[in-house]
Amino acid sequence: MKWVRENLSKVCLIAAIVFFLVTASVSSYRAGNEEENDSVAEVAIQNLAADVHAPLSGVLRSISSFFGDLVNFREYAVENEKLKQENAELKKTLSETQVTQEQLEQLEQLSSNFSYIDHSSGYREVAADVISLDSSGVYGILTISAGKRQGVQKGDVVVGPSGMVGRVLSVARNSSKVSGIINSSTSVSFYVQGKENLIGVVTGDGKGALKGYLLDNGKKIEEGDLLTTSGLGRYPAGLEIGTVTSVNKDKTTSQVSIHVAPSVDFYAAGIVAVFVEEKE
Amino acid sequence: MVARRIKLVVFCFICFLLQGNVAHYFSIRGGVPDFILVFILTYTYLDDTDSPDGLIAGTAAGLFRDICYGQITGTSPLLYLAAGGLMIYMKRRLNNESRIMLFFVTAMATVLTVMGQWLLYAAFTQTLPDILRVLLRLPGTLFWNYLLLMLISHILHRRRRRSRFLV
Repeated sequence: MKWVRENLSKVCLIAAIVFFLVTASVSSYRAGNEEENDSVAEVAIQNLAADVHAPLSGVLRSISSFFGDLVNFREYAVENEKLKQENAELKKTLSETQVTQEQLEQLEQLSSNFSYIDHSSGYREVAADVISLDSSGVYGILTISAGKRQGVQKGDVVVGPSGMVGRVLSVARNSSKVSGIINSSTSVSFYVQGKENLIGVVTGDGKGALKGYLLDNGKKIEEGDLLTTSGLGRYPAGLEIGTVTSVNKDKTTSQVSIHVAPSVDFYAAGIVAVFVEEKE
Repeated sequence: MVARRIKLVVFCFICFLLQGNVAHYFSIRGGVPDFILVFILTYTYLDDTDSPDGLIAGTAAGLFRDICYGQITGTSPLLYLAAGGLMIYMKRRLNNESRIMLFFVTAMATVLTVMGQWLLYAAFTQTLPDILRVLLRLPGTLFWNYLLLMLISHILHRRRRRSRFLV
């Protein structure tokens, strides 16, 4: 006891180190376990931080977007013209390929006759702001302004304006922590758009991009191919993941590995949507 | 004493907010300033009494950081604790006023937190983020950390000379 009193600072230091190591172990176990929820203290801190972060991030985003607009106004004018052209082309394509109302009704009738269950339905989207993020770009963690109150649950899928962002890691009252697809512990199965028989899995490469492989090595994938979620696992089908930047084939194993640039820019994703499962 | 502690908590909370909202705007090749680390290093560097207040506040900010936008809760405070301890240790043994000593300690603390984060992440998640990416972040992070540390300590030094108050 006397020794403890004499070396109080050392004892406190050791206690703190042990405490943080135990916390980290429990936290890593929880992160990997869908059923486990965060502790009351963690949720309380997340609530408090989100209440302060949310207005601050709004102000900062307005300031940065104002200065960004000032600096890039010429680029925006050119981009605007391009988008107008693209819009006109898309409208034309849409009118050419649109399924008529009658055909749609027929298809719905057919699906009900076959008792087909559509797994993509049963979700509603909740919009949220990105209020803070891990600035390293290595671990891909961000906080959004939607939580339990908005119906968000652990494991829900988060999408940005241009594609997949990631999955909800933990939920507080008005905020949630999201693990991005660039996180090396996240895996997503994909289809190659336009080549639906090509299927594979991508995961974060720890460099802010994605790496993956094809399940069937005989198939051909090319640079520039667009990847979308396959619908296998918890991710709904058809969400844009990214574009293939390089393809490598291992000569001995014949395995095709790819590198992918994610569609979403994590630092620019100001607003996201969470796919919340609708309860009946 | 109470006023000083309140100031300390407020500064610490500001650093935590800046880290989550502002840091990514200053990215140089992925390297961003670590405001919480700068806070801990500045406080322990300027504090003549060697009180653990700055270390405790910084560690708490690290815990907040992990809870809000870290994957594993507990790794940041551990590393901030080590970085603060390193500054106290080096300050006692080397020339306190030397800029080289300050740079040396900032560099060591930055390497410790960046690499430590990578190692602990790998240990707890059993996944290995790319080491090259982590190493490439180091110069940018070190540049910002040292710049901020020099700037803040210079301002506070001048203020302290005038008012004889710490922080």
